[in-house]
Amino acid sequence: MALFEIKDLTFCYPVREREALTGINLTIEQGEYITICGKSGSGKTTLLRHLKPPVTPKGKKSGEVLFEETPVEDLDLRTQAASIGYVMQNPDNQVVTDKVWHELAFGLESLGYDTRTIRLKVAEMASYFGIQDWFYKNVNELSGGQKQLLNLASIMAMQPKVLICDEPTSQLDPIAASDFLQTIKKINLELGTTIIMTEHRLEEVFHASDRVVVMEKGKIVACGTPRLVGDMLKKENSDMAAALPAPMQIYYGVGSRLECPLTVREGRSWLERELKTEGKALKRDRLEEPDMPEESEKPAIKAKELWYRYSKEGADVLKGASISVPKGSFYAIVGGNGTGKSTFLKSICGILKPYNGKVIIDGKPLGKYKKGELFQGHLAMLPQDPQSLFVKKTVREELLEMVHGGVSENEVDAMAEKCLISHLLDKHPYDISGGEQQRTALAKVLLTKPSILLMDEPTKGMDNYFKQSLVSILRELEDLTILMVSHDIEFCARYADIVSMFFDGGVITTNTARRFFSGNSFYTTSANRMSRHIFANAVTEEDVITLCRENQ
Amino acid sequence: MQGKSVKRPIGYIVMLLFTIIVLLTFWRLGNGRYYLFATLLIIGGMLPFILGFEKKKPQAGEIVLVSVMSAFAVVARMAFSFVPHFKPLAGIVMITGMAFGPTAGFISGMLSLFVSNLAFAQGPWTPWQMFAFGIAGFVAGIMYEKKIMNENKRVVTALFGFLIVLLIVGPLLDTSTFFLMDGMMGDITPWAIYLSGLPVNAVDGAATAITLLILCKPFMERINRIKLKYDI
Amino acid sequence: MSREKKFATYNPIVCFVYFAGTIVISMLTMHPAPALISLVMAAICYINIHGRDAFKLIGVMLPICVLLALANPVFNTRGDTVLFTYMGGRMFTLEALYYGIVLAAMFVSVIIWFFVYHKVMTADKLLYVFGGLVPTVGLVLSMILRLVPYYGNHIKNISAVRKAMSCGSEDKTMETANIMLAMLSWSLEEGIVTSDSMKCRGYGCGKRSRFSVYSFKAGDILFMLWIIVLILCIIMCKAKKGLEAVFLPHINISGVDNGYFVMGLVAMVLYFSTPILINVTEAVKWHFLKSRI
Repeated sequence: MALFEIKDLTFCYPVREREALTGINLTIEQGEYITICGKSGSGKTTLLRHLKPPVTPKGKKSGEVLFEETPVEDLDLRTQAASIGYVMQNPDNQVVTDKVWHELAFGLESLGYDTRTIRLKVAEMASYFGIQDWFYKNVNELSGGQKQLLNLASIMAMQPKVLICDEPTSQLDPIAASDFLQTIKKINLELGTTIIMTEHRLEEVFHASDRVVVMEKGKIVACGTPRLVGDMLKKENSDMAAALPAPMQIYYGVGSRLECPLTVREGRSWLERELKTEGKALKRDRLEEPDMPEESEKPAIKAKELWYRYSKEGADVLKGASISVPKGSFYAIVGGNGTGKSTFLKSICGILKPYNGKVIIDGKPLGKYKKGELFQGHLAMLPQDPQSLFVKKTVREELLEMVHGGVSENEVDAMAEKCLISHLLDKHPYDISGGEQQRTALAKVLLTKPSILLMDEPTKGMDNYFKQSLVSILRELEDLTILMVSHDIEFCARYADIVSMFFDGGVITTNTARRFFSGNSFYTTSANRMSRHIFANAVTEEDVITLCRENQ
Repeated sequence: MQGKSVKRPIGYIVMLLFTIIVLLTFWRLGNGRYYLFATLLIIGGMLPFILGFEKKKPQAGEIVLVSVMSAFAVVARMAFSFVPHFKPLAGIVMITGMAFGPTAGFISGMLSLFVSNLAFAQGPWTPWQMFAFGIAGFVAGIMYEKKIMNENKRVVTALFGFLIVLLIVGPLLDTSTFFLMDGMMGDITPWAIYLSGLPVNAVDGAATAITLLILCKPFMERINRIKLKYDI
Repeated sequence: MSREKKFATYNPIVCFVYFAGTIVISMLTMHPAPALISLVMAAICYINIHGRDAFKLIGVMLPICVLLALANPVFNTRGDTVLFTYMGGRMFTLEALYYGIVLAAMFVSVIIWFFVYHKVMTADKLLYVFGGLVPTVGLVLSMILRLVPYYGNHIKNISAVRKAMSCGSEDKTMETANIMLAMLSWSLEEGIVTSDSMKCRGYGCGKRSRFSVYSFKAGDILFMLWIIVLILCIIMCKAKKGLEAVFLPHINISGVDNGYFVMGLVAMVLYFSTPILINVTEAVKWHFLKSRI
């Protein structure tokens, strides 16, 4: 008996012409691990939501979804709650109560279990997920990764047959994300729970999946084992191929006839076999690399020895952090969670006041700027959460809020054009997708005409296409200096000029992106990890492909 | 249905106010401690609203939105205590009552006060404050149903906000002070306490009116948008 | 946060009953002995539970206590023994002063007991006490407690971001309104996801049960019995007129010659010092355990 059977499902949101889902047919068996991928807006989330009645959107629907041969809408509330688990994107707003233990018990309470049963199940879950250490804590004291794990545990406590995850790691840092995905895999292997997941970190889930489903414009375009799907995408030359894990991309880019590698480990041995490296010198094992630019006389941003702590008794968060950002460069700061990167960024733009040290913007100390002068034409900051910028009822009003002192309405239209949001101007800022919100926020920030743009985790929760469109918008702006804090190694490796590593409240090393990442052995891109035993400084997939071609 | 559930608490309030008046009158005759008695009555006065809310078995959406508005009121009170003449708590509680009905308004006012007192200090006055602000939310809810307070009638709404604070919330809190001070200041009359409280209540009422004048319409618009979008 | 003291680890229902009793007893006995005992024990208790910071409150409360005591004879001129006259013959009487002292002691002790209560009865304990009777309101309270710090954080973010954009109004009130609007839109949308998450976990699919980390242990029952016995003693003392006290116009209070008074007084001393007794016994026990290790 199939667990889920989706038959000819077609769905259209109200007041929209285009169908969100068109003729979906899919059968999911008990115990499978299925990954659904596709661009933002391809209908992945809409499809998942049709599997769980309480979150199914309203609209015109035809076809049916069967859960164990019963249409999902006929399932009684209890059965659907207990058998179908649903984990959402944002770890924060799924949490209901204030205590970890209460949150774990929430679902069981709803199902009306008695105290003794709940106590046992909660104890089991806490032990299985390693929650016992923070069992009595307030939810607010947890990190994002812990919160998401708590959400997962609280759903698993009801022992569902299937776990549906809608981009569960998009708001997490890479380490927490990878922990979370391992837990999911563990659940699948040890408990036999069926997993249906959408995810844009394909690197981590592709090899673990039994089947991969690729969606495009509301249709399933490919479905099968990971390798099969890779082949299909390659054959059709789909732009989804650019989202495949690095080893697969390199494999297809080189055009090898050997078996396709899915993981870095497989990629390394594939590369050796492909290039027949044994006992043979390579024609070329390194790419040209620009030298680290000399420290310029007049950098856009110069921070000297910043020291900061949040409270008098607290520990120092910044411990003499210094940086010098050349004019016109794209500068990235990478580093783990809680190292003080974001604090550093806030200190540079004056939101936080370091108790020691000096910040010089465009050759002028921060303190010498008059009130408001700094943020008019000099510095602007794109916050991590674009929603914190939204006040008004439409995107247009949002942008018009910036119209004062030298910004005209024509410029607003031009900026909307540039940031690809012209078609959204009359929509409510909360009715548009995450990537569109990000571009709206960017447009709003750019209307202050900054010469320096600070960005805090600009790629969080974005898929590759949105990242590309972000970069192309930024590239169009001339003379813009960008300082970015990011966890996204692949993004930094591809686009940044200079990269600094932040650790323990200060900058540890700084180098050009290529030198930086080829010098690291853990904290680097998967293309580099896969090829570093053969090539000296290949960082991106394209680098590896170029070098491979030259050596074939 | 709606009418019935509204009538019962009103009966209670009348009874409660009556009891307080009786107590005040008897206070001149005896030399006892009425504070405890009155506080128990106040706690009893909250029960019908609480049970009404329980009985209604509100949906997840309503529960969450009432929590959201209450938490919002608490945070607004704490975060903007430095902004002069800006006391948003009563105003937001009234908007909650208008948007989600009288009972939800009461619950929201009651719990916001309780939670914001957690940050400062609980005391014998806590039940009184909880009740007073609960009533503020409740009355605003009734006024909205009677189409007196409305986001499109900004001035009237603000005026009623002012009156609710001046005539209901303020005097209730003054009554608490009176009972608490009973005997301590010698033979003071409740009217002296009410009179001396008048200017403070008027200032608070004006702050609430300003809050409503500025925030009522945009708040209601945003809440209605959410209600419409997610069908609550 | 440091480890909770032993007293705070008892079942919240028992603790709640204890505090309710404390406050009712303090308020209802207008007699100098219990009032002073209550005041002293409340202060010691608060210091024991709150540590050094407790002195801040007590430092504020002492002058208030004195002021209130002195205020009574100013407003109240009844009483036989005139201490002095002022403002052309207005009397300041000993009886009124005495009455004022007792009233002030009682008032301040109740306030301090509330602070002790506040320290011990955290919100989640209160939820446990009342959550069973009013589950929906309990859930709303629990959600508010979760949301307040979360919103507090976000409001800081918004105001920082808006400052860094130098957008919005110069006027502080208008800018505050703008920040609140941004907050509202965001929090409502967040709330919708939360309600989805509740429905996904079966909220509203039938009668909810209730889980709690607290349970009744032998110690709790013992504590409860202790409370009941002491309260019965106090009630009996009161009923047999062992706690009579008249201040005005002349002082007439029951004293040690009354057997019921002695019983009531002992019961009250024991009652008010219960938290201290529990915490100190615990500390002594640990001291000996440690020295054995």
